[in-house]
Amino acid sequence: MTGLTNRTVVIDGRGHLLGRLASVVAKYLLQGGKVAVVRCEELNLSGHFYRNKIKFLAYLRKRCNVNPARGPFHFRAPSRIFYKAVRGMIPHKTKRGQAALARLRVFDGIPSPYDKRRRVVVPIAMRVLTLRSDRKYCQVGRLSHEVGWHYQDVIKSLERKRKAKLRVTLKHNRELKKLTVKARENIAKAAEPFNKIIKSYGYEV
Amino acid sequence: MPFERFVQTGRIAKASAGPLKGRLVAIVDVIDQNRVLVDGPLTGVPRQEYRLNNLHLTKYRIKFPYTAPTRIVRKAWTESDLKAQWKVSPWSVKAQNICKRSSLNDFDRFKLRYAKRQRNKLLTIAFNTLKKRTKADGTPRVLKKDRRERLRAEKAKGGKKAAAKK
Repeated sequence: MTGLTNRTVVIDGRGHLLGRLASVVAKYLLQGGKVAVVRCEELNLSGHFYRNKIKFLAYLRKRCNVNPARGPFHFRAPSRIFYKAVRGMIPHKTKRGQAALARLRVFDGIPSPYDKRRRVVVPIAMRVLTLRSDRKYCQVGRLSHEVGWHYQDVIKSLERKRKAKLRVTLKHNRELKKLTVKARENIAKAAEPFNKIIKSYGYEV
Repeated sequence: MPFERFVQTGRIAKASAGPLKGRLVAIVDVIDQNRVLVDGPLTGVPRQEYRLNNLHLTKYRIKFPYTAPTRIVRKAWTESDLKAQWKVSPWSVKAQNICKRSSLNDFDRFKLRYAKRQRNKLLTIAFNTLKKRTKADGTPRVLKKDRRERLRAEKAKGGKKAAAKK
């Protein structure tokens, strides 16, 4: 989208490459926008799974030897992994950077109220558009789970519930649409003069 | 083959950008891969070279020899049914509507808004009536009002029968 909006942009992380999406999000935040990234567990990493696991395990070995409480901290949740990627692309030690990061929200799954909001994608960060089709990739959710994220099952079941509910809602909406069509037919005669005016001004042909 | 609109002699194109924006032209000759020679004797376009990137090809074609002079192009254009066909094409209708919309004044916009509002009021009432009588899965719902009316009707029939007996 062009320009900033006071409204939070909800990005569906499914099928995006983590780093590419992070760069776009970081820039948008620094420009003053608000972003919520949902479904972080379905973000993709290029390279096969084993390679990515090794890289993450190497990262786990990094700590401050004299006092590990000084970091780095190894959050495992997919949303935290994404957050760290974005943080690395923002000057998070400055007030400006802190404010930018405060405008970012990251979630695994799609919690309320974002399940009712329109979700957008970032084409230049999507795996199917930027990764060659013969290249390996893996999902962040799987990696997180294997290095200690405990909530893969929880997120999975919540997503299943959400999708089931959504299916019911969509079916109902389809019925309502039929009613709309029928209602339009029913009032066709009474609405004739109004429709004529609307058409004469170039709308709803 | 999948493509049916070629850059070829006789192809009618619409200028989508540049100084001729919005006009129909006929392609007379291909100069190179970026430019063509166009002519539009009936749309006020003198013969000239034009960028291909500024043209959108249409499905219409008229027949004349390549690099034909304007006189021949005009004749071919006139003889073909192009004007009438283009007038009713969805592309043209859409363009006309866009033109209409951009020329509305305040009063017109008010009338439009009012008409839409009135129509949508009717639509809302009709929709809500239908919705009340429909279950979530699309099957009709029997209202208490309907049941009551049916009972009243039966009672009336019963009354008639009794009267007949008397």
